[in-house]
Amino acid sequence: MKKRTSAFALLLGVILTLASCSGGGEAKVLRVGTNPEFPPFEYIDNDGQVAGFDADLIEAVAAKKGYTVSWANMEFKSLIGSLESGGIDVAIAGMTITETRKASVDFTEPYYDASQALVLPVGSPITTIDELNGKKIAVQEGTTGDLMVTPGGEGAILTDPATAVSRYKKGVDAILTLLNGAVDAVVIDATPAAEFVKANQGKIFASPVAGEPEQYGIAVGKGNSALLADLNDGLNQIRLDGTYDKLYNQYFGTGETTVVRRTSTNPFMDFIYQLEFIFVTNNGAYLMLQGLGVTLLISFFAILLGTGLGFPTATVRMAARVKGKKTLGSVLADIYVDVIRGTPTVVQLLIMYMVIFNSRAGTIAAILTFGINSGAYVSEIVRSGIQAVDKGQTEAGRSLGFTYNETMRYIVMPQAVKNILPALGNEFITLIKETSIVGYVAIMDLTKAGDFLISRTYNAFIPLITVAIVYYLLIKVLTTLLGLFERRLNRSDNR
Amino acid sequence: MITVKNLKKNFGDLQVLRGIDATVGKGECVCVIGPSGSGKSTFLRCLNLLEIPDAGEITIDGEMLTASTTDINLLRRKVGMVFQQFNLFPHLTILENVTLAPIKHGLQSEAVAKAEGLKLLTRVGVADKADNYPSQLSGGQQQRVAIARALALQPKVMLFDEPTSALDPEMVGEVLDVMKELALDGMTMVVVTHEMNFAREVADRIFFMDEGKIVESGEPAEILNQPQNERTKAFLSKVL
Repeated sequence: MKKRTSAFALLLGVILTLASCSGGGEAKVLRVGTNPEFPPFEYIDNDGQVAGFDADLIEAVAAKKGYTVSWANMEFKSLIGSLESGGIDVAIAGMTITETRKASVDFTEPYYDASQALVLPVGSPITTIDELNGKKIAVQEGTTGDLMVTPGGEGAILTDPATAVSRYKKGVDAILTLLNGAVDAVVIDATPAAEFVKANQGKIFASPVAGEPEQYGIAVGKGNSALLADLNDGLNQIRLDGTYDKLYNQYFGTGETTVVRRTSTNPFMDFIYQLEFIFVTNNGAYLMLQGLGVTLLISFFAILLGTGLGFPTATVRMAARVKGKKTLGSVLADIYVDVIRGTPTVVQLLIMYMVIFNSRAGTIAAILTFGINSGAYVSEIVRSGIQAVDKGQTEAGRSLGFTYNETMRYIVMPQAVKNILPALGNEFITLIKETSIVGYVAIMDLTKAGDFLISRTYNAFIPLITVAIVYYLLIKVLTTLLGLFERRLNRSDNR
Repeated sequence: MITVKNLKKNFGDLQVLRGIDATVGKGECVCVIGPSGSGKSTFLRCLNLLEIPDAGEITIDGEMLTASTTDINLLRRKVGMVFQQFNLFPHLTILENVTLAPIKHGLQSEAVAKAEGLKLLTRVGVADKADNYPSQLSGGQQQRVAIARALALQPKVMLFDEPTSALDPEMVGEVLDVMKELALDGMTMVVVTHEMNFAREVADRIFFMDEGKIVESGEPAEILNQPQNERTKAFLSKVL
């Protein structure tokens, strides 16, 4: 169960499915926010869709009440903020009902009872949570487990300030840290803990943390009583008709078998089985291909936009400088370059997505962010390219009766473009790689696809190396193309 | 053709031109000589407003350059300029260098401009290089192309800013020959140069400049053989 002080949460939303915004018409759309990195409650399935106990539950409730569900994936701590801003209608994400949260949102009747567990390496001498004082612990950021082990905070159990707590965005990252031997224990919800243990038989085990049990609820915006009543009624209906029990058994009952990968004592065959598990069984190849498509889409349009912005920006600024007269355009261009260069891209992305786009149309927000960001850098590159063209060229152009703008267009720019091509190529490469932060707004790009695979296979090495290789090949193709283009432009250079 | 009255130009605190009065008649070839730093090039560059004068009046072909109503871009088409460093456009072929301005100004169709351009290149003797790029030509060839490029707009006046100073010695002759021909054809020319033999042979008049002023002017024979001014004498004794 995750806790947090909602009112001050940074709005970190994300959407995966763009299409759902412009839905069919008759059916009411229920915009559901979640953080699909908390199996088995919510995760991304083989088809890249949100799945899990919570997902099936809300779909069933929505169906009862005549809603169609549109998913919005985001960081856990963004959920309540998005409810408050109206970016989503409901949040279902293994969220514990707490008094603090009730101040910001309304909860349905509880739909699940949960408790915390210690996850420990096999052979660990630790038996109770108190023994973790002064030890190294990994947790999922903002969860109940985080609060329990952070000395001095609300709900803290540990007291030793020397306790070292590593906070991860995802539970699986905390577990991976434990598997790597870097921490002594993980404190996490009991149900996912059981999942993690099942996937890593013989390496880790879970032990329950004593304490009063907590309950998960579906959150809606404060005061949205009509929707709250609909949801409570829907919950009641699926409890009565047996749907709830069916789902519970499917996810938490003994009948559920996790797919276990084939193993072999031959290291080579074992590696092959591992690849099979990641790329075939878990549909990793498809996910990565899909992610690559998103990366290419965002990069391509951002490069177009960046180039389209950079050249006029540079020209306007240069003209103002040469003529010694600032214009409204040149002042705006100065501010644009100054502000964009002075702030981190990731902050720009978050502002674009959360503040300007109100947590919708993530891909478009990302394209705009990277395009506008790149435009500022392209304009500086163009400026240096223009300045590198000999002054005599401008003088010769002006002497032939060309205006300043004509001289730029016919004489200076063609030469400047050739000068700046290597730097421009570099900027494009940087941009492509920089798009890997779109995961912040939960767009499923190449990097994020790798992330998902890690959380589903508990294997960090192969997905990460694969992502790196794909980026490398992508950049290689780009540099080769740029090289060819450069050689063409250099025809006038052969002496 | 050219009238200059009380022309002044400062670079910061430095007074480069301290009041120049001069006239150049139609078809006249004037050579401007003088020690370096005397303001020769600045004077020349003021004649097509590559430098903006701080004071004074310049009139070319009846139009006052320094008046705010004058369209300087139109006027520059009448004033061809040849630079010390040639300043050919390296991304264009030789022929394109020559035809760019007539085509883009809408003065000639592409076909006509090409035909005229080839004629000009033939006239300066580099027609065989029409499809080459500037970097493939020698300095002398490049400067002849630069002259052809300026002539393509059929200017009334040609300005030359030390056109042979950046050339290897063996290439100076070919450029001067082209300029001499141009002068004989009746082009109004102002030439800043250190080539005293060219000045003696081709110029109708010589201006000797020193410290931002025209100190002495007259026919080549007078200036070069019987200079009156002490500074002219001192300068000529070093260069002749």
